[in-house]
Amino acid sequence: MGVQMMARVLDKVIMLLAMTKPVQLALLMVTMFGAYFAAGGSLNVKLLALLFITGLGSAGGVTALNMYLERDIDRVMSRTRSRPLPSGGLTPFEALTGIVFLIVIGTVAASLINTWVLLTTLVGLYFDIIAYTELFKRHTAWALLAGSVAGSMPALGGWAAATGSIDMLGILMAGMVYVWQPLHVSFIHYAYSKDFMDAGVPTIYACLGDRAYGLISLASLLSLLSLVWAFAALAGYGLTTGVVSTIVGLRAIRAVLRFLSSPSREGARRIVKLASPTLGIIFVLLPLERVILGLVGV
Amino acid sequence: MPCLLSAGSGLLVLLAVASESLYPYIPAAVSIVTLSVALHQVKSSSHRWTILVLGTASWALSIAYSLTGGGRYGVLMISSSIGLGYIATAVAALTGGWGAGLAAFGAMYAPLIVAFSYTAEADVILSAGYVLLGSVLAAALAESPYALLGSLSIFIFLPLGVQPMVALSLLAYITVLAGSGALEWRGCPFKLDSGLVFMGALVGSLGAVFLGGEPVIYRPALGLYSLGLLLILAGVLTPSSTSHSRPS
Repeated sequence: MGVQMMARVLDKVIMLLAMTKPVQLALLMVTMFGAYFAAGGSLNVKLLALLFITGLGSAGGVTALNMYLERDIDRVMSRTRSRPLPSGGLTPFEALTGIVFLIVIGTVAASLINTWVLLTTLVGLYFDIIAYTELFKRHTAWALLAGSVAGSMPALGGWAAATGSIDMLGILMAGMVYVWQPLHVSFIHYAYSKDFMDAGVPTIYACLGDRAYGLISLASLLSLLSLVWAFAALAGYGLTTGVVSTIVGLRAIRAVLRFLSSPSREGARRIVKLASPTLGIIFVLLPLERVILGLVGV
Repeated sequence: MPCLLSAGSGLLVLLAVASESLYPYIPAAVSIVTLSVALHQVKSSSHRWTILVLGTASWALSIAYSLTGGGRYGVLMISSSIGLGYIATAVAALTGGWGAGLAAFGAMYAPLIVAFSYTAEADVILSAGYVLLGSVLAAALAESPYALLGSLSIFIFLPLGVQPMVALSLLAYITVLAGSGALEWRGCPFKLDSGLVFMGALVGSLGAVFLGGEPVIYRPALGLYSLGLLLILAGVLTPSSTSHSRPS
């Protein structure tokens, strides 16, 4: 009986963790730790552990809370019907209890680092849950502009954890995540536009047509590359990152131009496939450059 | 009736502030009016007696605290007063529905706030939060008596960490009663998720309790307090189709 109960509880915990969207969470963690090390953060184990708990609890918990609030939409869309809440794996009460627990430990961990990190977690929650999910998503296709603020907060938090403040370089790093997100989110909207239409969620394509995806992708990529170079110019490091990300980004831009002349689902998929690594490259290479510069004493 | 009650109670409290000598006695007058309404709405006679006994004990303790400051037994007196008051409110809400719970809540809330106002120090930010928590509690109340009970059981602890400024405490009191009255008359304008409101109240109250503690835990407490307010706001603004419906 006890073993069965344990297995059931474990199942519920696994389903709760699935609600944090582990792949997306991992990417957010990369941006957080990438920004931390790019800012010259030390290998302080306690601080790194607190930062990890902050990311897992706050970013993961907020994503799960989002899913909890959108369970009615998830029930309608074929892509999301098998998620823990619409499939009945978790009851709303079980999910909410676990989610609040996650967010609480994330908030406490953030507050133990410094006030700026705490602020980024609260701002992230506000923009993801209240602004994006509750106020805008069901009413306007431009809700993603509010939601993207939330996605950029882990990077800003990572920077603030290392420096103890929020400065222009931290804002630029968060800005890179901000401008990249519309590309990713709008691809999902494009690929599953019928699902979103069935669920009554407005998408840009419903208003502006297929080419909107190409234009958003182009704007995202150009902004991202501009921010990388601006960072390199201000910080005094990041040249290698700028060159590599520009090479990768230009390939994606070429795919965007093809898509604009002849829009297709395959073309859209190619853009996201080429563009997605750009952000990862930036948040891995920038800290590496910083560490190497530190090692050679520049 | 609730709106008239709110207006009347608010007036009495304001009069009490104007006349310092009346101040400690006014909560009893307010409580008698509001508790009468609670008792009127509870049909079962045995429950009416329970509410009356618990409510009277709660008033006696809070008025004694107002008059004496409590001395070395201050914390015990006020904790017992709050505890008994909330048990009475819980019994009223469970047996007489949310209307009775609301009235009993008003009865208990008035002496509590006034008693604390009498000895309190100013803390504007926390008091503003207190007003918000109180208002949202009133909204939660309109949806489900269970949301009310859960939230109230947490609010027992809130004043231990919060020492509201007199004016804002009175504002909180009037807001809750007037808001509750308006909700009873016109219906709740929000599609609440009472679970989320409850969790927000729990987290916010925990933060409020710790805010009154050691300086070393001030930042985590402030974080929890802010998080609680955000969760409550999220619970109030929840998309309509996912909100919990009011139990029939």
